[in-house]
Formats: sequence, structure tokens, C-alpha cells
Amino acid sequence: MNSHEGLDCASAMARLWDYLDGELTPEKVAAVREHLAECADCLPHARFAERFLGELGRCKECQPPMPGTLRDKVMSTLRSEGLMS
Amino acid sequence: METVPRSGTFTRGDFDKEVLARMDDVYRFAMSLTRDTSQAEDLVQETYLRAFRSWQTFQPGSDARRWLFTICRNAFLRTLERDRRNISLDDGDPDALGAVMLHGQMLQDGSADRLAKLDLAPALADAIAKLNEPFRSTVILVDVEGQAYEEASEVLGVPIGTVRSRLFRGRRQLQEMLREYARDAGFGGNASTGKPHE
Ligand SMILES: [Zn+2]
Repeated sequence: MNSHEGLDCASAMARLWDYLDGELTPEKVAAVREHLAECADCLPHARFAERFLGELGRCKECQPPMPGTLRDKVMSTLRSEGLMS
Repeated sequence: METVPRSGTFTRGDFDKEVLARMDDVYRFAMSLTRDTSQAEDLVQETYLRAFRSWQTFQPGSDARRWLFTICRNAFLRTLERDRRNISLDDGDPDALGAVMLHGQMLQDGSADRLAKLDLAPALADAIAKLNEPFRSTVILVDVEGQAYEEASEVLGVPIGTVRSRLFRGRRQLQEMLREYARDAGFGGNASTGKPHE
């Protein structure tokens, strides 16, 4: 594990998910980014994590689709309850 | 009903359009909670009934999905109470470093190399289906539906820290399953392609 001026590897990696999820403050984002730019050990982990999240984000399409009949069922329930015209 | 005006220019017709357009998203979330198609359908029905009954509580301009997910989650909890079924809500410790450590092992045993060449989508779809609650609904909300931690914490009714720890542990479990997938895909191989890392 390397230690650079800003974050060490462990602290950078402990923030990796928050970093990729956009949940860090701008200062912390800068610190993680800086570490990744300089650290050949951490970069592959970050790249993999990024690909992993990217693929997960595309998983809407790979989830089982809503049954075609459900929309009609919901609409007719709403109508029978007088909640929709 | 189309033209009942509400605050400003937001009409009942706008409401109908906005929430009905989200039914696929609500169904996915309902599936993540129930893992059963017929229960998920019931839950979507219940969600929409409640949504339409309390449509006045929807704030125009706010995120309709988050509102619907919250209703869906509450309706689901109601059914759980009704069924007296028990789902463990034990969260354990947050494990942000777990994923990195796992990837380190994957680099060493060669599964990282194999994964790099594989299409992850089918494996991930499978892996999500195998995730247990409360990890599955959290991963679906944040990673698939793109909700922020804070939004997910509102929907699930738990603190942000709990969302994070569930999310990180869920992701870690998914990556464990990807590792197995890489091993099975194997390319007839063993760990010989793995370069020692460090
Ligand atoms: Zn590092």
C-alpha cells in the first residue's frame, strides 16, 4: 500500500463507494481523485468498481419485465374504486 | 377529472400521467421486496390504490418515483405485519473496504481478468435475484433505480448510515457471486492468468 501526501490507500479505498456514488463533499472528491491519479495500486480497484456500478445501473433492462396485463388490472381497480375516470 | 385544478398549473390529469408512467419502476421495486410475481402485482395494485387515494399529498415537481417507492415500501411492511412473516433486518457492520479486498483477491486468482472479458449483465441479473433482504431492495433503489443515499433512506425508513452499510454489503455479495461466475466461466482455466498484485 502506498502513502501519498493526501490520502493513504486505505482511506482512499474506504471512500471509494461514496466517491463513485457522488456522496462526498467536493474537497473529499478532490482528495480521492488525486490519490487515484497517483496510485497504481488503487486505480484498478476503482476501475473495476466503476464498471461494476455501470453494469448494475443498466440492470433495469435485465430485471424481469412487468407483466403486460398488470397495467390494465391496476387501471380497472382504480376505476372500480372511483379513483379514476 | 382531467381538469380538476390544483396548485398552480398542476392538474389531476398531470398527476395521473406522472404516476402511471412509473409503474414499471414500481413493479421492479415491488419485485425486489417480494421476490414473487403475484405478490409483486398485488403490491403494485395496493401502491396505486394508496397513491390515488392520497394524491393530494404528492408535491408537484417532486420526484414521483421516490413518493411511489415510499408508499410501496410502507404497503409492503403492512403485509409483512399482516402475514406475521419475519425478515431479518439485522444489518451488521458497514464494510466499504470489503469490495476492494475482494477485488484484490480476484486480481490474484485470475477471476478479475476473466470478468474483464465477460458480459456482466446476465450474471448480475442472476446475482440480484439471489440477494437477500434488506440488501436487495437497497441495491435496487440505489444502484438500479439511481436514488441517492438520502432518497433511499426516506423510502426505506432507515438512517443514511444503514442504507450505506446495506448497500456496501449487498455490493460485496454481488461481487462474490460475480467471482463465482468468472470461475465457472473459467475458459477451461485455473488461476494461471492471475498476476500477483502488490
Ligand atoms: Zn492507493
